[in-house]
Amino acid sequence: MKKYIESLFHSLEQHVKPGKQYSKLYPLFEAFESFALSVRTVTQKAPFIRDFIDTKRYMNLVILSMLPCLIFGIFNVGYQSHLAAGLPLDIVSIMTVGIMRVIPLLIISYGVGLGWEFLSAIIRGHEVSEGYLVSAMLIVLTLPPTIPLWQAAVGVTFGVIVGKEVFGGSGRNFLNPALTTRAFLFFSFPAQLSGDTVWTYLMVGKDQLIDGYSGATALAVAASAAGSVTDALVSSGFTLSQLFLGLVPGSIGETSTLLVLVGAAFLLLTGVASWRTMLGSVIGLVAMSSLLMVFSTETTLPFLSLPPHWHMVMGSFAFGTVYMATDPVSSPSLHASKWIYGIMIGVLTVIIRCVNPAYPEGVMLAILLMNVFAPALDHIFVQRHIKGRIPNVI
Amino acid sequence: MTTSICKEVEVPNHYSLALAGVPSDGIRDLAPPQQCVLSPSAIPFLKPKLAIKEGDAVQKGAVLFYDKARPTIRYMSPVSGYVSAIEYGPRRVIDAIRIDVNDSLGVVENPAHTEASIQELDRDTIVSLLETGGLWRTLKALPFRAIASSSVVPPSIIVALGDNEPHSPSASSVLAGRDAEIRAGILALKKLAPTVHVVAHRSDTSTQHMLSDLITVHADGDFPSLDPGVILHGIKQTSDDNSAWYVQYQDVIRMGQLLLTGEYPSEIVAVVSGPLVKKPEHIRTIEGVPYKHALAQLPSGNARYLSGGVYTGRLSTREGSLSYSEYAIHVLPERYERELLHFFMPGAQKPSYFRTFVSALLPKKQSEASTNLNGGVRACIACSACPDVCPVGILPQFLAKALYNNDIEGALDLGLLDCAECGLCSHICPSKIELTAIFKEAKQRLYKESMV
Repeated sequence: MKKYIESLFHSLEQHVKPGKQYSKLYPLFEAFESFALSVRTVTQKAPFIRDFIDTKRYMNLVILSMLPCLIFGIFNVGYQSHLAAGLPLDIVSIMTVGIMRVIPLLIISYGVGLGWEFLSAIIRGHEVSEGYLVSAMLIVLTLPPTIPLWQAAVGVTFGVIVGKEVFGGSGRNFLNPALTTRAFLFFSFPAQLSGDTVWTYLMVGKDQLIDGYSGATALAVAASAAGSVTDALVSSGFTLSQLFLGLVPGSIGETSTLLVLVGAAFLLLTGVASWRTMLGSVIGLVAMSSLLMVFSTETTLPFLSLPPHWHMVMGSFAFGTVYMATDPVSSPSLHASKWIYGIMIGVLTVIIRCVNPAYPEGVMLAILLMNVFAPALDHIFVQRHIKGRIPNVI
Repeated sequence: MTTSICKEVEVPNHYSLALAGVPSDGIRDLAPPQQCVLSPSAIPFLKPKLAIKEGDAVQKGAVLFYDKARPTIRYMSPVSGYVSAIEYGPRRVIDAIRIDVNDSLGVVENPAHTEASIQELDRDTIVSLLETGGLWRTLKALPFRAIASSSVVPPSIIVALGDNEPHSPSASSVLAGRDAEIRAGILALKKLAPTVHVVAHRSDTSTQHMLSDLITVHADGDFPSLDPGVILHGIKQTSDDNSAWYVQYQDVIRMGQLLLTGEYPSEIVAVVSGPLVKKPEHIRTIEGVPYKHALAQLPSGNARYLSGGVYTGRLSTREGSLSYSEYAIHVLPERYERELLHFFMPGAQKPSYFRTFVSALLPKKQSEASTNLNGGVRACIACSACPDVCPVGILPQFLAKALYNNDIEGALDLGLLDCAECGLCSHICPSKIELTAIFKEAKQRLYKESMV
């Protein structure tokens, strides 16, 4: 098997080598070849031995960590659909509905996105980066199941080209491409992303006001609650345990805080994601929501009095913190700036949720905003680092 | 003096990789080689000018070549014999000088001293003894690691008793029985600089015991905690300390031998190791020994030959030799073979700095090194692992980006000249960026500019 694949790639390589007829397609060839087989390149410069880690391994683990969310997402899409339509809740038919809906989205996300990646790699003659394999999955998990496929394709196109390729590809982008896609869709197609009929596949006429980023039905309830927010949530069917388990309508992969925590544990165990960013974000959210709680009175918005643990399980705070904020490329690079970055994401999330009436959910915008500030944060701490060094100049 | 007043250097970001092929402790005496091969082109910053031509007879300790810019920096013949060949590489660099050994030619005699008489010598005499003896070349100046200039008095000289790069000669084995020589060498160094920092590794108790009155610094941590640049980073107080000199400890022993006997000391203790070496061991041999003599048998198939360690060594070939002041030979497999769908595999056999392989959960095992890059070259993904392994607290990712943008001022601010060139950042980079090579090349450019 391995021999066959090796010889297949070897014979293909004869046509795409520099100077050959299809040399322009070499990046495409390299992408598939390096996907199938490990490299045979050897070191030319000291150090002469290298670690086994590579970017493929790194990205692969992020994808693995998202699989629980994806599988639960498929289930939940079907479950919510059958629940709303009053159909029987047996697992096979639920999963079938979910698969019918989610797999086409995955195909669109990977197909269209990788198409653009390949195209730009061919034009610029550099290798295809593995980063998009993660972004494509993230994009699907943050989309509502009802989004038309053409809109997903347009969003992916925007996210890959404007979010990443115009800056030079993976590693050189300053915004998270998956969130760029999500923000583009959110602002371009509000009817599909925050209208009445969007959140539950095949469902018509749900009378809750529904908003933005993340299946934020619970957030919409909280934002418009008149009396006690927790009572309003519970009476609308959003109990704390349900929100935690994720059996609520929402975007495909982000409803279940529990499974996001499973993914987070995997990411932290393997050391792929920064625990500083995650912890910082939780600290920021708890601090800001507690502050608002302390200062909320009878006359302020009832939403301000919502306790932190509700904030944590509502919307896609958990998903955003674990998978989006920790994207290494668009987050700052130093330990100290990661703390600030995480804390600010938590703080801004609560502020946008509670204080800004236009967007009941704030995670997406908070992370994108902090993406923009990441280089500035790094700059501050690099300058501090330089001040701490004993100068060594000539 | 007691050890309690020693300075302590803790290398915070050390990273230990357990490489297979730890050499056995005893030293095997190698039969003298028939031919010695020296490589002037392997010496950084040197413009060699030959003092001999093909067919000449040379005595042990006679000048083979010297630096065109500083003719007092001489390189001596480690053996007596006839120059059988001088091989040139591209652009007429001198790749190899081959000397067929003939012991009947005698040796060059320099004045011999005793420890007491060394004590009486002044700086200039020591300088000229080292220059005419051919060992001045062993004194290197930080930050560029070029050969020191005798007209400069450095703030200090660093002598690390040992080298913990995998796998280097064990300091306690090398130093055994060399008490008088190392003391004479350090005595001479003390004439050259106001301070000599003698560094021992905290775990090396036999060396600490042997030279307890001389040792002033204790280093702790894995490779590269005994690198002079790393030690300097740990002990320096002001910018004035940056231009410290250093000498490898085997060269200090050889300085002592030169001063005590008057004869050029060409005997060295080296290590042969690497997965392709059947029996990793210490050997006692002479400078310029060809690999094919030092290794019982040369491995067949694709092999990488290195003079020096796997992190900082010099790329060589099957035909190569241990040149001046090189104390290890490594033979690694050139791994071209490929693995199917490698990144889906759990990786129990793949030890890594990262916890991304199942190997992280298993007990730590010694791993077999190979030269495979283990991944494709990509843009930096800002994983932020490189600052965590840097022994001198540099932020390699920012430094590399500054150099990428030709921001030399910024690079100097970020500590380019502190870089110990240890190779750890390149070793762990998931994007396979040649960080160490980028820094080394930038330093070499700066050195050349500063010389003009």
